[in-house]
Amino acid sequence: MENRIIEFVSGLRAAGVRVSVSESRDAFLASSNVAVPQRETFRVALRATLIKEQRDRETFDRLFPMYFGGDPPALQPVGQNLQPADSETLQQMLRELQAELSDLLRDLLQGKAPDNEQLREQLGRLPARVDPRMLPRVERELNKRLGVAQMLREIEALLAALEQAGMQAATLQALRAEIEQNLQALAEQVARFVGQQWRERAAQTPAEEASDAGLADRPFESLGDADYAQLQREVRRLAALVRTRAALRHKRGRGRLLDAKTTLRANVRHGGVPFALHFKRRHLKPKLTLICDVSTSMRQVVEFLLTFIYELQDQLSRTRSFAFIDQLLDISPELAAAPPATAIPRILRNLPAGHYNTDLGAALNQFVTHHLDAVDQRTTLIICGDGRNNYNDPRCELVELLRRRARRVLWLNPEPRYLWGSDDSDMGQYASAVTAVHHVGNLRELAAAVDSLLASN
Amino acid sequence: MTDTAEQLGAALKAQQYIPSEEICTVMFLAQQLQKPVLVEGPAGVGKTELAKALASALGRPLIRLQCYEGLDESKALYEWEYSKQMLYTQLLSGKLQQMLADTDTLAAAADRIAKEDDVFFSMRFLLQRPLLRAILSPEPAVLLIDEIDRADSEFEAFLLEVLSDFQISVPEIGTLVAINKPLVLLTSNNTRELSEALKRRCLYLFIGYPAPAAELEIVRLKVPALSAQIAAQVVDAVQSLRSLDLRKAPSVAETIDWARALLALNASALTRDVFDSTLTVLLKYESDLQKARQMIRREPRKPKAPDAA
Ligand SMILES: Nc1ncnc2c1ncn2[C@@H]1O[C@H](COP(=O)(O)OP(=O)(O)OP(=O)(O)O)[C@@H](O)[C@H]1O
Ligand SMILES: [Mg+2]
Repeated sequence: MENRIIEFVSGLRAAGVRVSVSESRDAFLASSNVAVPQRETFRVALRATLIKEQRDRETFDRLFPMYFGGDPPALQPVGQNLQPADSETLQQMLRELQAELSDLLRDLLQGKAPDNEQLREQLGRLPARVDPRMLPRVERELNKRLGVAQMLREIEALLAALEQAGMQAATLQALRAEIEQNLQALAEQVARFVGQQWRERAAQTPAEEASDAGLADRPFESLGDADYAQLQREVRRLAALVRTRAALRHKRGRGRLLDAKTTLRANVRHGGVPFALHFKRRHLKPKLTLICDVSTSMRQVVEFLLTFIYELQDQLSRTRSFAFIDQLLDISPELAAAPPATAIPRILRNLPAGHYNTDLGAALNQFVTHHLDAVDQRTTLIICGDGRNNYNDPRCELVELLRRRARRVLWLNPEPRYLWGSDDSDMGQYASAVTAVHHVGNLRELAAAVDSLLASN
Repeated sequence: MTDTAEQLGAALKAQQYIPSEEICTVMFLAQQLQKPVLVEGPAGVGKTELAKALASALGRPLIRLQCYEGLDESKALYEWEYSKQMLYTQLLSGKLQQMLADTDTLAAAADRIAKEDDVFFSMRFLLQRPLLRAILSPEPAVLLIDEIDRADSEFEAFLLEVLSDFQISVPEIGTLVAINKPLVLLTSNNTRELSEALKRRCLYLFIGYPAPAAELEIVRLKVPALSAQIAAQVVDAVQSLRSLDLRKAPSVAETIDWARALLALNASALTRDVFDSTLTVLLKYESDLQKARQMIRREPRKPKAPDAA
C-alpha cells in the first residue's frame, strides 16, 4: 500500500498538484490511522492530507480510482440462462449473420474483452504529459478505434433479427440487459487501461518537469503553449509566496517605533505615566500607480503583473491602474470589478477600433494633464513596457517630472538589457530618468521585482 | 476522545450537528494525528458551528479567536494589564517607600525595585487572550480560529509559529509550553489566498452545501415544529435554487431562517404565493429574486410526498 501511495503522489504531481514531502508523510500516517480500512474513509484521509485547494479536488477525484480502483468488473458469457429453444435461435442467428458480425461483438457475447496487447496496439503510446482531464477524450478515441460504435449497430441488428425470428419480448429484454452489462464492463476496462497507461507515463516523468515549477523560469515568449490554468495557478502561488515573505519581513523587522503622541494621550488616565505603550504602525503599505503598455507584445506580461498586484492587494494601500497603446485609459474600475484575467481582454475589446502604434510619449502627456492626482509623494509609480515607441517623441522630461513628484518611479521591462536602445527603443533614455529598472523576463523575475518593491518601501 | 469516526459522528449528532461522513473522518484524523484543520467553504454551511459542536461532543472547552483586519498579537496572545499594575503600585506605595528607605542613591533605589520586577510582571498581571488561554488550558481545548483569511498575512505568519510548537515566550516571564495541545480548527471563506506553509501544516476540509437528505435532517432538527411535508418542500426548493446561477446562493443558515419564517406564518403548504412572499428571507439580491421567480413560473411546484424521514 505504501508504494501505491508513493506512486499516487507522483501521479498527482505529474498532474500539476503541489504535494510536499511532509504532506505525503501525513498521508501515510492518516491512511494507517483510519480505524476501519474502508475505501471511502481511506479516500477522504488521503484527500484531507494531500489536497489543500478546492480547485485541486477534481484532479484528485479523477486520479484516485486509477490508483486504488481495484479490479474492473469482468465480462460474462451472454445467454447462459436461455431456454434451450431460445438458445438454439440465438446460435443459429449468430451463424447466419456470421459475415456481418465483428470479432469485437463475438467476443463480447462470449464474455471476452480485448486483452491489454490489443488495447495497446490500438492506443499506441501516450504522449509524455497528458493532462488527466483529457483522459475521457483518450478513452473515447480508443473506443472508436476498437470499433465500439459499429458494434452497437450490430447489436441492434442482431436483436431485431431475433425478434423477427419470433423471440419473446421478455427474453429479448433479458438478453439486452446482459449485453448492456458487458458493454458497461468493457467501458470500465478500457477506462482502466487508459488510466494504467497514464500512470506508467506519470511514473516516468521526472518530478521537476512534472510540476509547475518549470513555468516560473520559462521566458514569457515561450509560454504560449503552456496550460493557461496552470499558469494562473503558478502566478497565484508566487503571489502567495511574495505575501508570506512580506509578512515575515514585517514580523522580524527592526524594532518597533514608539508613537509618542498616542502613548501620551492613552496614558492620561494613568496620570501621564506611560504604562501602555503605543507603537507606530510598523510599516506603511505602498501606494501604487501603474501605467501599462497593452500593445500585443506586452499584453501577457501586463496581465501577469496586474494579477500579481491584485492578488497582493492586502499588502498595498491603494492601487490605480492605467493602460495605453497610444491613448491612455483609466482601467482601475474594470480591475475592481473583475480579476485581471477577465478584465484585460474586456478592456482590449473596448478600445476604439483602428490601428495602434505604441506611443508612450502621448500617453504620458495625457497622464500628466488629466491624472496627476494619481501621483503624490507616497506613490510608487510603475511603468510596465518595452520602451519601444515607434520613433515617437519619448517625452523623457515628463518621466522626470513624475519622478520628482512621486516617491519613486520603477520601470519593468521584459526585454533583455542588450536590446535597450536598439532600433525604436527609447529604453536607454528612460532608464536614466527613472529611479530603477527591473528586467522581468519570466514569472520568477516578475515575482522578485514585486517582492523587492514591497521590501524597500 | 472517540475511538472511531462513526462514534465521533454520533457524538456530533447528539450535539445537534449533522456531519457528513467526510467531516467525521477528517475530525477524527485531526485528533489522531494532532494536526490543525483548515475548514473552507461558502458562508453559512456550518463551519463555525462544527467547532462548537465538536467541543461539546468531546467535552472540551471551546476557545474562540475571531479574526479581523488589524488583529495583532496583543489581542490574540496576551497583554499586560496596566491599570491593575498601576493600582497595585499605588496601593503598595507605602510598602515601596519603606523598602527604599535605606537606599541613598537613585541608582541603588532603582536596583532594588528591579529586584522586585517579577512581582509586577507575573501571571497575576497577564491578561490572557485566546491563544494563550488555549495553550495554558488545564484540560485540552478546542481552539477555533475563525475567518483567518480576514487577518493580515503578518498575523498568519505569527500564527504559523504558534501552531508549530504550541509554546510562546513572554520575555518577562519565560517560555510557556502547552500542557495539552489544543485541537485547532481554522476557518476561511477564501477571500484571499492563505500561505502554502500554513496549508501544509493543516489537514484540509471543504464543506459544501449539504446533500438533500442531510439538509432535511438539519431542518427537522432545528425547526422540529414545522411539518415534515413542508420541510421536505423547503429543502427541495432550496436545492433547486442552488443550481441556478445566483450571486449569492442560499446557505444552510438561510434554509433554517426560511423554515422558521414559514412556521411563524403558519403556512399549511408551500404555494407559489407563500413562496413569493417569503423569498426575501432566502435571497438578498434583486437579480437573484427575479431568477428564482422565473424558476418557479417555469415549473409550478407540485406538493411532494414527504420523505420517509
Ligand atoms: N451540518 C449542520 N448541522 C446542524 N446545523 C447546521 C449544519 N450546517 C449548518 N448548520 C446551521 O447553519 C447555521 C450557519 O452555520 P455557521 O454560522 O456555522 O456557518 P459558517 O460556515 O461558519 O458561516 P460563515 O462563513 O458565514 O461564518 C447555524 O445556525 C448552524 O446551526
Ligand atoms: Mg462562521
